[in-house]
Amino acid sequence: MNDYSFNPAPTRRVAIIGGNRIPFARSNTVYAHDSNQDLLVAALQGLVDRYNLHGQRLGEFAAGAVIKHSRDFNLARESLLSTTLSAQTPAYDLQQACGTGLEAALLVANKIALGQIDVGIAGGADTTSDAPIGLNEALRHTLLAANRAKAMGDKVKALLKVRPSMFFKPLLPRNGEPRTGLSMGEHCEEMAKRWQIKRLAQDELTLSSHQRLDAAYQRGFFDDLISPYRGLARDNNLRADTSLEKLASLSPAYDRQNGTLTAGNSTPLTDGASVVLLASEAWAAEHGWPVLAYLRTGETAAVNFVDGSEGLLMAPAYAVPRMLKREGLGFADFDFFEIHEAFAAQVLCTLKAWEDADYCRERLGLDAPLGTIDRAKMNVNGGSLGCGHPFAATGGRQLAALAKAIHERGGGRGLISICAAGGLGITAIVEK
Amino acid sequence: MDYVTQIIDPPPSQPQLLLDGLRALRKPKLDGAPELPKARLVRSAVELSATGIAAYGRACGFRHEQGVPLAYPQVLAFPSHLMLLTRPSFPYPASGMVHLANRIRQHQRLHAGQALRLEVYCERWVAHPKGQALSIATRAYGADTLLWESDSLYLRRDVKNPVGEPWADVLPLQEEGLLRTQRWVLPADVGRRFAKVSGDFNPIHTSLIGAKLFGFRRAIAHGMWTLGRALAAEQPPGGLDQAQAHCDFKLPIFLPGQVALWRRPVSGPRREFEVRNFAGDKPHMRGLFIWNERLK
Repeated sequence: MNDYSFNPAPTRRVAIIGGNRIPFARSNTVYAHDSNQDLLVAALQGLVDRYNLHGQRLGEFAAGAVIKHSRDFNLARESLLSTTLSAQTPAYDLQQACGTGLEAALLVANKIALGQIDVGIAGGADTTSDAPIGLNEALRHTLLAANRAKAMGDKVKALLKVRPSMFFKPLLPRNGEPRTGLSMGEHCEEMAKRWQIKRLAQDELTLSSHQRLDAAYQRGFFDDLISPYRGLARDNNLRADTSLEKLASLSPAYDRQNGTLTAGNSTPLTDGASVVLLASEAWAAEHGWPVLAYLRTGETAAVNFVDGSEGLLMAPAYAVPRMLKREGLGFADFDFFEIHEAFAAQVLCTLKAWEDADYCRERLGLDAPLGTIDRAKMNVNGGSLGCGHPFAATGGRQLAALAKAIHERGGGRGLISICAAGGLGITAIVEK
Repeated sequence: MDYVTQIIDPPPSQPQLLLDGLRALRKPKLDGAPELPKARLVRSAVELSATGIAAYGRACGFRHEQGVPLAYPQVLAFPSHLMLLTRPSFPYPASGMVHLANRIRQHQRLHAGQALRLEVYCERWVAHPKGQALSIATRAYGADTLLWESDSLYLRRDVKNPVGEPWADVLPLQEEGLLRTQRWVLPADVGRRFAKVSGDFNPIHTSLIGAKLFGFRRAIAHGMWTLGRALAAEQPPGGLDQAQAHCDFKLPIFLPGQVALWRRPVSGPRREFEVRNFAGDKPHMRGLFIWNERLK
């Protein structure tokens, strides 16, 4: 007789209490000398200060970075130890390319929903200024061979293979897909051609991203979402005075002859960090914090971009309809759309795909097109084109800003969508 | 045709091959039609060694999970190819033979550690618009079963009135929908690295000066490397049971350099691809790769 019984855990709603980030800075500017850990500590300590979490033991802190040094193996835990949170708060790292921040939030939220923890923080940081430069591969293999050798003679013999040239050819981080050797911009340029996305449409979206971000700053929307850092109070990529003329003057960045993607309508390399505080409703009530919104669910997808059958950044196009079907929702049920703008073209490709009957039927398996997204509801407080895109920090930025926008509105529902390297897409629904 | 089977044991050393190559730089002028060499060079047990496969894989970009690379046995047969081309009875200088095309068929799965009987012989003359072409056959047997075979077409330029059947076997490719799917950044030492695993130290692939001596402005990538690199990009994980690859070589790839892999979107276990320059207006190699389908 087996007396084992399985009692499924009751699920409960996951409240978004608030978020914090440092202003995002273009690569090699104000945060040029900061490490991922420095940036993450700054964002996390700001959150601890705002929500008075000093000395508290939380359920967990989950965070990651995309461009990482090997010494950053325990980035989240090491960062936590530099804050005034209780050192008894566990932490772990994760990495899902540009989806890292949102995936971290989904993991923490799932534990809260299942009752394993009551409160946790999710986040991410990235710097491309303090990028890891590796040893030359041949030198590294030679040193490892010497390390493996037991006898001194063998060690010396191995080390004799070191050549001076090895010291001048370091291993540099690549801004390209490992399996294709093409940069993300080149992949997106290919998508823009496939979907016939015009340059003007890309520049218009870019302009709107800057203008809406600026307007949000002007009305104080970010006052309780951002902690100034190193004298920076706003994202330094923001160009409030940019115009369609200025954007039109930029030359194509990835395909100089026929390209439409420019330094303006693509996100620049950016340094920054963000964190989000998630908790059960009971925890929120006990600590007297209002609930901004609830993190309802998430969905991830992946596409085969390697054989060219799908565009690298098209996975959200698949994740969103799957999630909507599961939840019984349609675009009409949403008041906000937070779509990560890696490139203006990538956003426009995704929107066009959801309007395309053939694509929706053949690729997404839908009877009818998913529909059109009302631009007035999309990225209402600016997007990555305006503020920049520190890879792992984007999800936390979007989640906190969307929750606050829903709270300000007095309720509503929002969709988050993030495309990521490796043909990945991470999406989520936030509501109240 | 009656071939004379000649067992090659041990295989020729690297210096010996180089020496033969030097000796074969000049050949007496040919009167009348060329005669097909009658030798069938046989190596009775060549091991598909795991370390050899790994080294070839590193040079061409294969990953371990892809199993034995489709074009790898040809590398093992390379010394025999060179022995045929450098024989005194071969009518043309070996150094002037241009690799035009290659056809490979694999009938059964190959495994590391397996021993292959490799047979190499000149199969037939082919009349090419640019000169006299020759098809060299490579056959790999396990026990008495043909496991793998390859036909390599080499061209001697500027031969008037070439003999043999006319060359017509050109791979078709539809230009429409051709997508650039990969960028290959090729360092200057690509040729030297492939020479170490293939044993083909032809100076046009391994050195700038050597390439200039033979009339190229820089060293050029080895055709079988280009094919290997493309198959590494196309071959699915899990190894191949049956497969075939065809390729036609076009313009040389100068080293160092940058080229791109272009592909026509097709579904199923079939790939039509072309290696071109990054802009896409200069072709280097056209290829067709079909796997795990019963071969006709």
